[in-house]
Amino acid sequence: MRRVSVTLCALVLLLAGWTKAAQAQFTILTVSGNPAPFNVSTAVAGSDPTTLSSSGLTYFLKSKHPAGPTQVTAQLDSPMPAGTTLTLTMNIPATQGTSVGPVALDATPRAILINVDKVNGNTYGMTYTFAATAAAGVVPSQTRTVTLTMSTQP
Amino acid sequence: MLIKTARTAAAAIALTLLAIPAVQAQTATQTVTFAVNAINQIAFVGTPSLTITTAVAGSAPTSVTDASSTWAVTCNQTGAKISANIPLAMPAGLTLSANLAAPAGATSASYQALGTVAVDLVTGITKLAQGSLAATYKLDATAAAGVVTTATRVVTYTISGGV
Repeated sequence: MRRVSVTLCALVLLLAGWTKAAQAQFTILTVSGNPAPFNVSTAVAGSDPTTLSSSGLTYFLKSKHPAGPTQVTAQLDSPMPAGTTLTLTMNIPATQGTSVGPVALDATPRAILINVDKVNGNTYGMTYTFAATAAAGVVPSQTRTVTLTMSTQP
Repeated sequence: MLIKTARTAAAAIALTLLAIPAVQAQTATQTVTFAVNAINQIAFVGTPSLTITTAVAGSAPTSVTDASSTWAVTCNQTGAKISANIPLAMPAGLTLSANLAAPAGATSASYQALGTVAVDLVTGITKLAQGSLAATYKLDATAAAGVVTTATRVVTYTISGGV
């Protein structure tokens, strides 16, 4: 009887470990790298400085979690300077999630992708844009860290 | 006893299988580098033409103006100015002047005679982007200038001085 109990307990622990391992593989989010620096130096007279966009960036996403759809949020480590805007767009097929569209980033988590589900490990495009108004003035070179977080959708 | 233990274990297994955990947050980070350089951009639209044809008896020929031109500016610095000059002096007795409407917060010098030495037309341009501003030209002539055949002057505008 004792042997049976031990065996069953071991089985329970094994299953618990399996669910943890499986959980770790349900969701994966990685990015291809950093965007090239945005250096704004031109404008059409009468209009704000020319907006710049990144190119060639991608992200890899896997989201097949039984707990339901997931979402991806983005957050800066500190706000952008006054008069400047950093926006992010993450593309995803409509059958696998919803892209909120260009979202202005700040120090608060902002939903970029919602209702993400049944993505069996695919790579999609993502684009940053940087815009500045004339009122922003001259902005010396600086950086922001963008943290992308994939989590269960509330 | 064995059956009870087995039931307990089976229940534990079932709970383990059913207790689907919430997604543990997955994160990825990117570093974004950005800068905005000094930008001072102006543009002018229009091909003004000025012809003096009349006078009031006893006075100099009647001055004419042309307000068909506009200008635009983008400046992300402080205290920039716009000056203008022409490559060749005007014929004797003729004066070509320009008057640029000031964008918000800046100051126009009103009509200023143009010559080969640059003159300031607008000062105090600070961090703005504005278009469709009036650019007006005026031609004055004295009787002593006589009849002057058609001539052209290229007016060069320069924005400078911002910090």
